Amino acid sequence: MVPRSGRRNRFPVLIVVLVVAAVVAPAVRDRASFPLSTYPIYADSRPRSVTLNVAVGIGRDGSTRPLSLDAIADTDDPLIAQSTLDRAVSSGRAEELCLIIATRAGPEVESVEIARERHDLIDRVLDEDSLRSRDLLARCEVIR
Amino acid sequence: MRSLGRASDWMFAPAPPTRLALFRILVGLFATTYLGVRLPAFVSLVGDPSSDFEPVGVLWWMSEPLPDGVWYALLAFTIASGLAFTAGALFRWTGPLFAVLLLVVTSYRSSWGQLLHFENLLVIHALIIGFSRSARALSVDGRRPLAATDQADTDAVYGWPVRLAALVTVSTYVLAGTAKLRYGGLDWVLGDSLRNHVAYSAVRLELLGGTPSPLAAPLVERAWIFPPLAFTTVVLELGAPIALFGRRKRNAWVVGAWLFHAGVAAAMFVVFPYPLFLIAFAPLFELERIAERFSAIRRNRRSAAAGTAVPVLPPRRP
Repeated sequence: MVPRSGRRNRFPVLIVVLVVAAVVAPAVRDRASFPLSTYPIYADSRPRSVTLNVAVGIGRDGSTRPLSLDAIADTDDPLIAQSTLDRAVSSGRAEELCLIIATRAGPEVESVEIARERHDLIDRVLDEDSLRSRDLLARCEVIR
Repeated sequence: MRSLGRASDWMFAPAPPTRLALFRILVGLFATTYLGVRLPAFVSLVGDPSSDFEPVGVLWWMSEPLPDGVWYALLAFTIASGLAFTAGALFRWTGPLFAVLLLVVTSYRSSWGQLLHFENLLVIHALIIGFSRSARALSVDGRRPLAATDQADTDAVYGWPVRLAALVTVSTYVLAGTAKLRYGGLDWVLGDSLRNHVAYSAVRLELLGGTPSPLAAPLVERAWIFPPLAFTTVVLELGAPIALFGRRKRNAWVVGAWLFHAGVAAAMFVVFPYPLFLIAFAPLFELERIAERFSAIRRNRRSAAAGTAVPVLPPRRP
């Protein structure tokens, strides 16, 4: 046990109090930022059915082909790819993003579609029919 | 008042400079390697449409993205100062500089519409270390060899930053547990939320051209597994402060927290490298014992060469 010191320097005490208060503050204010956060990752109550903005390639035979994360958003992070699609759709720039994706699509892709799809998550994972609805938001041809 | 005094004694207990120095080396090495490995992701922000720029945190005041050249220079300076931070070179300057630059570049990366939570704890730890006397030992500045630090050097100034980092680590887990109860409610613990989250991660990856975890389908098929897993997750997160009360409890909690992150990485392909590499939990340990073990091994080798032997592990401190 360390003897308590009546002459303890107040500066470190102040720093400790301020840092802990800063770390906890987002929870009190219910506002996440960076690097101080409420850490809300996967904290919401996730329903079984979700709507996702997706980008897919269409082959010469009309079949759907998945595009890579790199083609969709020049990233390897699905969070960033999802965010890129969501922001383009919500700001009315789906056509613009479609054209950008078309420049990065592989040779087997004839055109690119951005769509809003509603899926049953569990059915999708278990390889059952999961698509509940689909709204086409943008379609563009791949120009070579 | 009494418990406040005990908490104060715990927080400001003296520690050898090697504890803080080793924490500096671990965090500096991790942060610099992380920046190097993830450099393409940081560089790729160049060219993103400026309409996507939504500055967060310390960059709240910015109205438009940085010019490309400035961003490249910032990344280069951050990595260079990270190397100096790790080595403890000119630490009076490079310590705060790297901590602030790391805060800036990670804030900038999170300023494009998607808050990334992988870097929060790393940045806070780097700030604590960068503004502490972390280069007294095991550093270019100190020029003190591994074995040169002894008990006489112990001081509260080397202890409280590490304890503060430990406090921050457990606080972030408590916040994460609180968030699940606040946003998800009891349904998160007792319902299908966790199962749906695992399925969501797999579906999102699949629809966006990635490869989902092969564990996702077998797990999702067994719905009964999720409520106990969800309950354990919340208990582990809310119970994080137990790690501050004794070695056994700390070890048990760290093993549990690491398994949790490993499970998330395996089932969802969501990787939190800072805790997975155990650096997030490092301040909970008496890191100087690693240095002591190394120096004892070196002493033993020298003694063996001279024909005498000493114990590999030094006696445990009272």
